[in-house]
Amino acid sequence: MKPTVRSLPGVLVLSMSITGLLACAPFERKDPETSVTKQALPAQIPVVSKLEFVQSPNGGRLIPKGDTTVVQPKMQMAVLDEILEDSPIVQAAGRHPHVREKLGGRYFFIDAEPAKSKDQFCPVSLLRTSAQAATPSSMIRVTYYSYSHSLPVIVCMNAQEFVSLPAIPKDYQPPESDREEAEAIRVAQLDARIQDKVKGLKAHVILTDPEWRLWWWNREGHGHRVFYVTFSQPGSGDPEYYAVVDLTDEIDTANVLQAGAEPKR
Amino acid sequence: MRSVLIACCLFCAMVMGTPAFAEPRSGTITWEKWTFDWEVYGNQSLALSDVTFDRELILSKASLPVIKVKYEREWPWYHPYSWFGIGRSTGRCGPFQDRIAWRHLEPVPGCGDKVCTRSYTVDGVKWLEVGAYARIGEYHLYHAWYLSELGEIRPVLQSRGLSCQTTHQHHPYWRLDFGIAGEGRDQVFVYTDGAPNEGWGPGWHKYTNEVNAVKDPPKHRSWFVRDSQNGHGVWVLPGDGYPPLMNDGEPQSGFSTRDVSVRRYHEEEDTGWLFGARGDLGYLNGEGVQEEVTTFWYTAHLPHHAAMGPAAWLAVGPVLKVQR
Repeated sequence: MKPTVRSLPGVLVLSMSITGLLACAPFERKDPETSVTKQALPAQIPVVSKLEFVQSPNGGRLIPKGDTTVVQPKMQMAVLDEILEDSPIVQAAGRHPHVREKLGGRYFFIDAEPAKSKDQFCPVSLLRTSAQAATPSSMIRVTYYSYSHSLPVIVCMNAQEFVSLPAIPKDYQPPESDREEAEAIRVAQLDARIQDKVKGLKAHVILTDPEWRLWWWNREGHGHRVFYVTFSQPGSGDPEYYAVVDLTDEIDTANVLQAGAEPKR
Repeated sequence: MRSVLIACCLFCAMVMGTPAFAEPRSGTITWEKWTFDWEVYGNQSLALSDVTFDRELILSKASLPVIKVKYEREWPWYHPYSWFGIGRSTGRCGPFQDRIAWRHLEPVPGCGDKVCTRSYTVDGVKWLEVGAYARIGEYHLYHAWYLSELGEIRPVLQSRGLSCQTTHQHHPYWRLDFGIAGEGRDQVFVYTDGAPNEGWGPGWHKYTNEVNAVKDPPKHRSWFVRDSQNGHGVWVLPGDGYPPLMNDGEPQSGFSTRDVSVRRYHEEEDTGWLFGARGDLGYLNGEGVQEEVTTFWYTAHLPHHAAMGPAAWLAVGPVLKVQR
């Protein structure tokens, strides 16, 4: 078809659409191959050994189907100590005014660990810029969750000295902590819907991520740090009752978003 | 790596005073032709590092930063309650992002320790098992590495238990930092039946940049990471499945959409899982991966049908095979 003035709008729309589609396509960069000698690759996919599993005698897990030998590998083990909430480092982090402001009134300690030299949040290079004593082993990453601001808070500490409050990626949620789990269980057990039914059952907690819902009364914790608490016979992995718990509120009864009997399969 | 950690923790012990408790959370193992360190650190489950086979490095680190879990909708798409966010369209519980830390570990049944090492002989081949047993919510998780005397590594996740009585999938994300031969000049290739010969042999294609990929079992798609100089390498083969499962499962639309991701190694990206329960792996910047230390992510997809109940153990994981 010969282009005419009348077909011009159509051509423009088409070219704009193609440009738009290309712009929206996932970006995938592809460099040319480097000029290395092309050594031949294996001609065939290798045959692999047979490894099958059977239930262990006590049902506790699957084990390889074969003979267990008593030969133990040569092992050396090292003891690593946990940095607890009452340690001087964590106490010092919690007292710093910048940290207190970031945490607000309601927060939980999650964990504290020595940071690796190129830790994304607390790299050792921070120490060099702040002219603090820089030994590779001295940076500690202390993690909290601020329920006042619904945000994780990471504090970089050089021993008991505050170093920085790094920015946190938008979707990052630190793993559940012991204290949060204990609190979520305590609150769930107080809920009138299940209070009498969960006595004698073992409670378990897992961090969840409620979806966004249209109606405000149905927004069951979206954007908050929410725990799914289940009650089951010990070791069964078979929940009988559940509760969805949001620890944001100071008032216990306001924190159980849902609770009830787990529907049967 | 382990010595750095030990130094860190000795320092911590000094500034903290009395240690909270003292259990071995890391160690070194020498078995047959294998030598490696293990550790439980940084919410990445049981990790192996400085893994050598026959005195040559094959993995600088191998870990399991996350197991994402997605439950099926409680309401089907045609039910009005699932429309426009009116109701619980994707289920009452989850999604979850399970990150195994020391605090989740319990003594391994039949073993006693929190990190269990056992040797087995299967069809005349010796295997070493190094595993950790974790409880997260209602889940019983056993994450183990099986190493054979013939140069195979099987990362395996076993799982049982239900958080809700609904069908769901576990998506373990294994992170494998290569650096084969310790030289930082990895090449990553993908093999697919029938793919044209680009100079590397029929079916082979060399990855030049960071990429996400999926399995293609009918075409035997598999991956090979090797040192560009000595040609020594490691195959990454999708798992054939441990019965009753038949394979490593299929990606789940909108939640865990790939099987393999190749990235250029950056130490600062080894900081656990930062992408939330709903997010998928990032770090896709188009960086070149030719003759660099590469990080290879392998994601399996373990389906757990609610009708199977909470007691049945299911297991998935790929096969890594040393090629010399």
